[in-house]
Amino acid sequence: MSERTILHVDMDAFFASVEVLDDPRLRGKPVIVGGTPEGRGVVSAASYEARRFGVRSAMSAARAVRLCPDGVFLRGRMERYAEVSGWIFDVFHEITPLVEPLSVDEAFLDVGGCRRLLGDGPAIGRHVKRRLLDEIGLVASVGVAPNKFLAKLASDLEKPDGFVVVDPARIQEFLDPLPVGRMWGVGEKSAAVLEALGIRTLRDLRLADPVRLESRLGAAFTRHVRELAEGRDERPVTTDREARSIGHEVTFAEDIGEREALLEVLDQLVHKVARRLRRADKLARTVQLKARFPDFTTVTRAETLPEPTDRTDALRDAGRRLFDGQLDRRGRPLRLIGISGRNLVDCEARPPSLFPDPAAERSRTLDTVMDRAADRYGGKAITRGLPRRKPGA
Amino acid sequence: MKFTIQQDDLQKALAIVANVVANKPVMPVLNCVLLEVDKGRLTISSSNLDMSVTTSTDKIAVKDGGRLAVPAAKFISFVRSLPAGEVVVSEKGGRVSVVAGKSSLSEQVMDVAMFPSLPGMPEGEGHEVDAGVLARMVRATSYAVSRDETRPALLGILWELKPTSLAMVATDAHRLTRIERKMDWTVTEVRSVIADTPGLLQFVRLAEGVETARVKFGDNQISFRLGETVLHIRLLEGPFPDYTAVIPQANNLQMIVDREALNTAARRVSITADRVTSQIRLGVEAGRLELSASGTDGSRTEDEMPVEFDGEAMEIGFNYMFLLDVLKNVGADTLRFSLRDSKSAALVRPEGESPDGDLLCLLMPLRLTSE
Repeated sequence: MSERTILHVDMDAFFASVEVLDDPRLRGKPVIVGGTPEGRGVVSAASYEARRFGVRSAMSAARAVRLCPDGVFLRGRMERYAEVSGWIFDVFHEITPLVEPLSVDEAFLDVGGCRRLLGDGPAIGRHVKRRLLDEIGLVASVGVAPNKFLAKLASDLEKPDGFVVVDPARIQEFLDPLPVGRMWGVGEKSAAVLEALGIRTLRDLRLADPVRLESRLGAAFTRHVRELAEGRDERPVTTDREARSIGHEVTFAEDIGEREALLEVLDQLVHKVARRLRRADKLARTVQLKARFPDFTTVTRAETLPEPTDRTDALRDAGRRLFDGQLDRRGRPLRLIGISGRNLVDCEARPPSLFPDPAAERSRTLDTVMDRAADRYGGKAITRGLPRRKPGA
Repeated sequence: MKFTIQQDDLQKALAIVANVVANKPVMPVLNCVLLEVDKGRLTISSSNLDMSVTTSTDKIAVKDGGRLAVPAAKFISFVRSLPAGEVVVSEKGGRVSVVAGKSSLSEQVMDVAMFPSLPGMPEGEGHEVDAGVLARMVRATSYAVSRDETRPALLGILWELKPTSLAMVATDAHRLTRIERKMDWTVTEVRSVIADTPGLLQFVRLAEGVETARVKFGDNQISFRLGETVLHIRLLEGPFPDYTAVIPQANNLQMIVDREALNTAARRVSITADRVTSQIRLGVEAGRLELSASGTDGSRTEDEMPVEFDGEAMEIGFNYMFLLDVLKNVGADTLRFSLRDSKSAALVRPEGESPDGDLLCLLMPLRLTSE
């Protein structure tokens, strides 16, 4: 495989930054999105000022209030974030068609094909960062690397406002000092197993006896982590058009038990999934809910819809039915919740209807109008160069 | 309450009400069967709010009358487990006891006053009908009913009542089935109602081996009397879509096929049909029909069979499950497909004399994906 150039672009404190963008009086203040000052709900984003107090996304609002009693708590406006997300992805798509969304504010870009037009990887990375700031007014952290694993590590390394380039000739130097928990697919549990073996950094892992690793971690996982420790990752950038499923999940900083709070998070995830389905011209035939309990048991529950859909309301109803009817939570709190659309079909394969459902048509129109508004204003903002507030301005 | 009954009489009566007992009811008492003993008769009822069923027998010896709400599951299992012979059912101090020889079960009863009062249907009320005909009409249409709960009217089967005929129509918006039979009955008005499908399927079960039934159309329900058993099922709110407008009038391409041969070929070809779209492709030309399906993994099956067709060659795609449903549920050896083009609904009818009278199925095509 020839040398690839992959960008990982991740907006800094995205929801909170959008709030600051829309209300400059919030600049410099600890802004906490999601949850209420009364401590209900879950934090979905925290500005860097709030993070200094220890507030993190996916933390219960109750804990956030304790850590940062003077924080500005905002309810969160998914429609607005979706709109700004549309602008961001417009920028991405103007640079390369090979965009793999990971979230509303995070994506991999394979820019190997546009090096001749826009310069080398670092030049394209700086170009993306500058356009996001100039045209939208938001700061992104960017990682530039020969593969997805390294690009994601790189963008995270100097957040916020990070810009890290992994030189293909110095990958080992870059990786060796990093702790094993940084690896994709290595959570708290596997990190603990590795530490018990005396493996703390990627260098330790690279030099460890593979036979010994295999006996503890299994052959497949050992191969996976060893490849990563050597900086090898062949996964292609997959656009939503070719994706087999589109989903989002969130791991909470601490377990959440309150139904209303969980449903609120679920709604936000549904919103993201639905918008990505529509962007990719896909319909989901199956909706799958994923939940992880405090003891790390993970369950998925799926429902096959009577009609494949990209409608926010239909996906939300299915998600709620699964949550209330199939999860069998028995009052247990959750550590993770996620939702995905699966068994995707192309929009044009939508089975024709003898009797179009007026209610469904209305809902689809609403989705379309909202998407278009997001896209159009995004386009206008970019082409007409509307004045934008810049951080610090 | 205290009565004696033969095990098989009790078991038969319980089998009639057993699957109408609510599963996880909002009202806990609906977990129960209601036993009523009065004037030498035992009446057993159950209800799940969508439907209710009541059956009665006089083959009992009564010591004391009364009413009891008995939790259904253990009671029914216990009675079923008993050998033939006499069973004594009695109540004392809030507990029911069921005794047969040395075997006995006792459990707490629930407050009988909580059990909803069920409507009756006096003998002789309603219109006399051939139970087998109604059951066949329900079976011929119920497969096409929608399961999309956001469109409640499509969850039921439309009954079009006329003084000389009855039609049933079911659709999920992608396919539609209509069956009409001449009726010699006492209906005098023209009226349409949408009957809940689970209730109708319950009727089909109860109609097994029964010759005549009586049916009565109320404002909110349809009631059936089959001998000593009365079933009430709920009506759904309309409107049912105007289906007559979508029945094609200009499908000029006629294909006559052997039902069983097409069923076999469609089943075979469906092996490689796309798991998500379930699409198979039918290509028809003079004298022959080609079937094919391509999987996303590159697999492909093809088959060919002779048909009667003399129009211009055409292709059309169907969800193979919908096609197989039609082939399974049309009671005729030979079928006529009336087609227009790859985008228009196909009309399928029995060819020649059919015991089903006037039956038609409408099948929306799937957009053909390029191969």
